[in-house]
Amino acid sequence: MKNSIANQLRDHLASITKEEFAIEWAQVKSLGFVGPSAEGFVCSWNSSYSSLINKVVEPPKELAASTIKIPIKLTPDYRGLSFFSILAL
Amino acid sequence: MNTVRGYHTLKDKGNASQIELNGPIKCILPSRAWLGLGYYFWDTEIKWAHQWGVQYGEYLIFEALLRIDGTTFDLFGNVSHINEFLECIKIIMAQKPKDSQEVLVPEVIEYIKAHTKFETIYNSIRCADYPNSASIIRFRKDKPEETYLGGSRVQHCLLNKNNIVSQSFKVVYPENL
Repeated sequence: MKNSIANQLRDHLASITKEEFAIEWAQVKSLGFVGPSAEGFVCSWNSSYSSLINKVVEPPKELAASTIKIPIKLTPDYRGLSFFSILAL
Repeated sequence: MNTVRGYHTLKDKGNASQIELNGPIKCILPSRAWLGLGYYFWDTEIKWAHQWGVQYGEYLIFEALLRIDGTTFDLFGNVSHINEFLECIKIIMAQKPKDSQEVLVPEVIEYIKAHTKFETIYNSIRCADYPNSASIIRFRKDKPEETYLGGSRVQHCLLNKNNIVSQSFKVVYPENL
């Protein structure tokens, strides 16, 4: 649709510079949301989790220095495991 | 036009009758507003309202009839809206620096509210999450990516009060009020 929200968003972004977008985005970030991530949302609505299935998970940077990096391919069978429970294995 | 029963949970501050007259109350705490700032209702299932209320200890639940119509940005039941929102996420992800923080759903919503005519078109957003992984069931053994997402928990975030059926907002818990 010509006047869809996505197209309005495209038009808006085409009318501003990267620097202006960075300022606008920082304003949204400053609201302090901690809700579910868009990535998780995308995966859910894809009815698949395909983007998670082949994702390599690495430890958070602050832990990486004191732990061994274990790249893990998530499969649907591992979906319920958190990073720390995988590490415990 | 379709309507559903919605349930709105608040901490009990002894002012149920006042809220019944003036409510619902807008959620302005970003830490809880997973669809952006607005008036939150659980869709159909009062048990989700109870589960949410437990964190408060003493809590109130209000019921209202919510309209679902062309002014509902329906990320639960409208494929066009779902795809449009995914497109918005992609557009924003492509724009932001690759090394910056991840994009959150409420941030995308607040950004499009601020920079498009979203709020002149829509009065509410409906969306679901899937908190119970046991309800994610495969359609086929050999294709794990093809899954049925059951156990959805559905919520409405009203941007204004226009989609609340007039006179339908009333306290339903505790029952003795």
